[in-house]
Amino acid sequence: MRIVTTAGIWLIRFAYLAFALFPLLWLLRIALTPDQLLYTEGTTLWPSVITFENFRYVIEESPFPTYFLNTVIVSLGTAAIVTVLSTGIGYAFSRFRFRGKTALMVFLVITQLFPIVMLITPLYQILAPVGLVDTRIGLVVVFTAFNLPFAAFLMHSFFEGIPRELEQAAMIDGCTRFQALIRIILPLMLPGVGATLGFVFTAAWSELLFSLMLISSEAKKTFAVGLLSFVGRSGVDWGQMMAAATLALIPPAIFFTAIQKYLVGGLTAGAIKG
Amino acid sequence: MAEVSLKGVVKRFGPVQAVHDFTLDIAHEEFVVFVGPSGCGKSTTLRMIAGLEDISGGEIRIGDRVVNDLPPRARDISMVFQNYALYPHMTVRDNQGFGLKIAGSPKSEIAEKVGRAAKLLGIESFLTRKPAALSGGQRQRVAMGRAIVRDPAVFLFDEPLSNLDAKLRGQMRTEIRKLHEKVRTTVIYVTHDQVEAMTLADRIVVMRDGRIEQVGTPDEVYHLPASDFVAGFIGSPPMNLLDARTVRDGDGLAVEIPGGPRLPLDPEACRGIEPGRDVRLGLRPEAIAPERIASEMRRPFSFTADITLVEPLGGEALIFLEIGGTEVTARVFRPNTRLSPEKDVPFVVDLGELNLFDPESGRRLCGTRRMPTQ
Ligand SMILES: Nc1ncnc2c1ncn2[C@@H]1O[C@H](COP(=O)(O)OP(=O)(O)OP(=O)(O)O)[C@@H](O)[C@H]1O
Ligand SMILES: [Mg+2]
Repeated sequence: MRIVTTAGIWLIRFAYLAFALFPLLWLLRIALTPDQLLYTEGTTLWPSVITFENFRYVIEESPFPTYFLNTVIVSLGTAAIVTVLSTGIGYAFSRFRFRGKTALMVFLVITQLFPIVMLITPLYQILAPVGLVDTRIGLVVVFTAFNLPFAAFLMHSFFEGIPRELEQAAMIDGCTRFQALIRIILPLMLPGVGATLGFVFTAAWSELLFSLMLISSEAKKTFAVGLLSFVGRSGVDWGQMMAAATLALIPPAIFFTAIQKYLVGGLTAGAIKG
Repeated sequence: MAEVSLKGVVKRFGPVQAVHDFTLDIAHEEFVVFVGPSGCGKSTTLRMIAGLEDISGGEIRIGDRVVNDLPPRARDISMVFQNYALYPHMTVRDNQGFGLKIAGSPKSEIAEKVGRAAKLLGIESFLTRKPAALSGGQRQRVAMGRAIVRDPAVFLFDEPLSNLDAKLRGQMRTEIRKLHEKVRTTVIYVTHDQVEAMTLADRIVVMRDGRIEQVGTPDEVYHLPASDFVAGFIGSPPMNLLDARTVRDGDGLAVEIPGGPRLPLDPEACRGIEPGRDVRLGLRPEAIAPERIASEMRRPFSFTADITLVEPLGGEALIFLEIGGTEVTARVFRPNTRLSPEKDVPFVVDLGELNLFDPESGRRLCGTRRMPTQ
């Protein structure tokens, strides 16, 4: 009976994994298939011959490395800025009483209600006079503005999960409020910081709409915009497109591997009675 | 030297006034316990002393400094929280040494002090563990260790034992008392458990609705409660309270329970109370006993009453009797005869243990217990 249950559970897990990972497999399969076999071999799971030609082309002959670098800069910049700011905002919302706090929080929620498409024209008009159109900094500013409210809420709820007595104890033990934050609260916030970083990084990494609208010069395009250029004049070059997409998956994968140990919660266990 | 003195301290949370005009002087090395029902402002007062809560009015002094505007770190205090508040990402050793490390003490000194505190509290064997790997009682000790290590002028405790089970709580209570004998410091201890208050305190501060109801030694609070509230709050079972009336009794004064006995009052203790006045008579359960098993009393006075119920508790027994239609609890120690409900049983009451309260205000009018003068 036990064995049947365990087997059943594994079967479900396996089915789920297969379902979730199949698109990735397909991505890789097409990237590795020589062009001339793409349509002749139909939908076999794996091509009879594989080639790295698509990858070589993307890396050596297309402007992808530039797109890539742009995306890394914009995503990392956005993730870092949003995380720092939302940490401050979340802490203030969680720990301080001040006038207009509730109103401010409601306001943050309201900003999330507008369909983003509505904002593109006004945003363009705002950014153009200050020279932020067609710049990477402009993208970082816009991404930061759009991700900050949610990130602030996320951080706020993480701060709420940390007992106030911990920093009070630290302040009695000789810390200033800032020292208590740095030495006691932030180490316990690492899962929260990791989650926020990860969330914002991925959001910025795959953002298309604003990048498409705000960036025009080839040298500043991000990866998502660049992918569209494969949908070209003479049809779609599937092999190259999939090779580029495969490469684009690598940075988020590295990033999440790096922060995954902080994403695992449970660090606050034992702070209070249990 | 660290006296703590509060003068007219007030705390408001918006429109809610949590603490009213709190004035108290705490002596150097004194162990003071704030006790009172939930929500009476004990924690708020303690947190104002700690600097974790701003004060809305008045003055707080620690030693010879007014600390009203000093941050917690500058007040030379340490605090043990109800939930212990141990730093979860640090080992027990680092938890204990944290305050000294922040203060910039040399490593050797930290190690020595942490070691000494750990020995005192018997936590040496888990210095390298994280708090999550400790039991409730062990965390409690670590929290106390962290407070001791810094050698502060004042210790603050906010219900440190309320998360422990009954047995451990009793054990830790004794240890805290012993600890105070060894580490002489001023202690302010908050609890809602009157047993803790009675066993630990040099002086008890009974609070109610943000005000001090009475300040006194455990004996004073127990035997001469300032009000019927204190009489009911301190002691388990609480003091019996009976509606009665003062009457002239020869040259002196007596208190008469309608339908019950008339008890002569100590003329000296109850001077100035006019006859014919409604009062509430307070009688501790130990001040009443069946005559044949009564232990020695200061001023025994005999009467008869009906026993309605007996609850044996091992070393002691509670006897429920009826005086003038009111149920009264008596407590006798080591009863060696079997007791059972019975009519017209001879009882004695100790006239040296009477308290009269004003039925309206609840304040004590007089008490006949003589306190040893200091
Ligand atoms: N931050 C706050 N905002 C508003 N009211 C508060 C706040 N903290 C405490 N109070 C109020 O102040 C009063 C006293 O609270 P306090 O925590 O001091 O009670 P306590 O005597 O410690 O009770 P307990 O035994 O339940 O811990 C309560 O009525 C409480 O509701
Ligand atoms: Mg409290």
